[in-house]
Amino acid sequence: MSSSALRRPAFSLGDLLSAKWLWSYVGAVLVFVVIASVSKDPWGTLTASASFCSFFMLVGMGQMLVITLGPGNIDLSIPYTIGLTGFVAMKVMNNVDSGIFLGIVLGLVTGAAIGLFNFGLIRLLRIPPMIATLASGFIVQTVSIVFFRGLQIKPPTGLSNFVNIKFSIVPLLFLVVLAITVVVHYVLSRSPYGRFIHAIGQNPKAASLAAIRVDRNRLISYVLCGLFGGLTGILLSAFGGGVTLGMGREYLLNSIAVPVIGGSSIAGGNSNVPGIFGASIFLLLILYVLDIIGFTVGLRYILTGVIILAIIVASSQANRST
Amino acid sequence: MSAPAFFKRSGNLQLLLLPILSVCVIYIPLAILRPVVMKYNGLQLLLNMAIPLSLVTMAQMFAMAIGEIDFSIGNLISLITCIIGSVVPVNAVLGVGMLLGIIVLYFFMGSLLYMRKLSSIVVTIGMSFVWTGLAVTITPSPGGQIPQFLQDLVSISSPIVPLPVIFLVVLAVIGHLVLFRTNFGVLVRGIGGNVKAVVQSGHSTTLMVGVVYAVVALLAILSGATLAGLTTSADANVATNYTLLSVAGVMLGGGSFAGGKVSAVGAVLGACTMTLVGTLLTFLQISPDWQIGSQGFILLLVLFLNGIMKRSTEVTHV
Repeated sequence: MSSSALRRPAFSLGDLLSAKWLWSYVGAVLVFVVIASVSKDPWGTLTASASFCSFFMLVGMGQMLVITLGPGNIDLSIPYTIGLTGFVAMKVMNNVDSGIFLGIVLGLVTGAAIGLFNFGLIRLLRIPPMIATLASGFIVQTVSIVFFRGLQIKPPTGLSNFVNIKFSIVPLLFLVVLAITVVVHYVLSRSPYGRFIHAIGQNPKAASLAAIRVDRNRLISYVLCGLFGGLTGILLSAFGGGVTLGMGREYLLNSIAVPVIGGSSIAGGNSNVPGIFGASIFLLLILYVLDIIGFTVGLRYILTGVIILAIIVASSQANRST
Repeated sequence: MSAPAFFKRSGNLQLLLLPILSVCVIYIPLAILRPVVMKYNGLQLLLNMAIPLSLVTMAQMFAMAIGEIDFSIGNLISLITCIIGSVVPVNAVLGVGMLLGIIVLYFFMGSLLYMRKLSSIVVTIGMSFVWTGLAVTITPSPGGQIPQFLQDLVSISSPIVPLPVIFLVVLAVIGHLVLFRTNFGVLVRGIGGNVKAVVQSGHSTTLMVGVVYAVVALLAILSGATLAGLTTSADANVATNYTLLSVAGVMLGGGSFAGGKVSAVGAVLGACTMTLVGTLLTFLQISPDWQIGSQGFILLLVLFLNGIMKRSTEVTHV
């Protein structure tokens, strides 16, 4: 390995990888062309999608940090994290602008605490991440039900105004998330943490022998994933005018689909931040198309599943051991 | 030869200790709170819901035996109740065709998963959308007409011992025999434990994984059919909790992802525990709000205890 390959793991595989994230953009452009051919205001569609795209990108990045840790690492508690952090933030803000700061802080702390709890289960109780986050998700959901059910608190006007600010047609929220994406990209490709989680994802034993603190870096990934889920929960509640219990439900599949379609390896050790944006906008435009065609809820569900699966199968590799 | 065989046997027994213990820990307070659960009728009512749950747990056990997981199984079983309640009464041929189609689809899904090295969790989460979409299309609101014979089948009054008890014992025995006394069982555990060895032995692993998935679908259909018979309605969301409950049941029964370690007897016991937990919480007058969280908590608790026990056995053997 050359030193430049070490410095920039996301691009070290050259053509193959760059082609992988390119696909999500190609897909997005194709779907956009379809929309443009039928819709009167295609650019309006695109900017309307941009806000939801921000949420997809946030959960997708969180999940990507966990998936990169290697086989078996996944966070299934994201949908419930979104719900609970939304509740905590809205409750603390209590519909007044002066509470916004504390609400955001406590919302993020809740998200990080869930991430910490997940990693605690995985590390201390030695439970597979899939089971640990599944169970913790249900516990988090129960906490939401017991403490916040029926709670209807509108977000403070300051916060809802903020998430709806637009620079001509581009939402500010989207630009903020895009900036976060750029930061994550540099963290993953340049910082020790970024290099370490790739090394751990590729071979945890080798990483450990190379004096990488495996547990500490895994902890950071799970906590960051919880933080991203928390941020999504807060912003989504502000954007949607309140919190509902099932608010995060659709984000489970999407949080996994975004990094996988964006070119990150589901087996870990290989992240791809540029693909996060492409995959998010691609998925959203597909959902939008299904919406404008006027399919029933059932058919929309079926097609969402089938399309995501088809893309995942198409981007997979053959098993050489067969 | 006899010494290792003995250790293996005692090891198996030890694995079953925790599942048996957890059933007792839940059943004894139940019996103290409501002594009627020790009588024929009480036991029948108590364990009725264990029939579909033990079948779905058995299905999940086969998936986990080969190191996979079916995250869509709760949605699939909801869909099956919809097919049985809304399609079969109108057009029996179409309904049965759909059920068979699900088995075939699972076969191809399993083969494809293996051939393309796909992650079963990603694919099955995707499939769960497809199942729910189909279920909502077939049965937009709960209802339908479950065939009478299914309702009769699950409420048969057997002599002396209630039907659910007989059913659970038979299911555990059949599951155990299939896993440990047939070539199929050896291959299933082999794929989970050492897939290269199975490939080297000249068996088509792609085909085998497909067959295991077909078995998962078959058991899910049986689970859906018995559930429909018990609830007497078709509902697109009736079994969404079954995904967590089935995984919990397998883990409670001593199964794990790694190494093809599964136990059919343990899975049935695990399913019983998860059924009884729900009833116990109701008897203790704990709000249903806490139900799903406490089931998640029990899963974590048992895994923790399992981990401690396994570690202690590992130490003694080393």
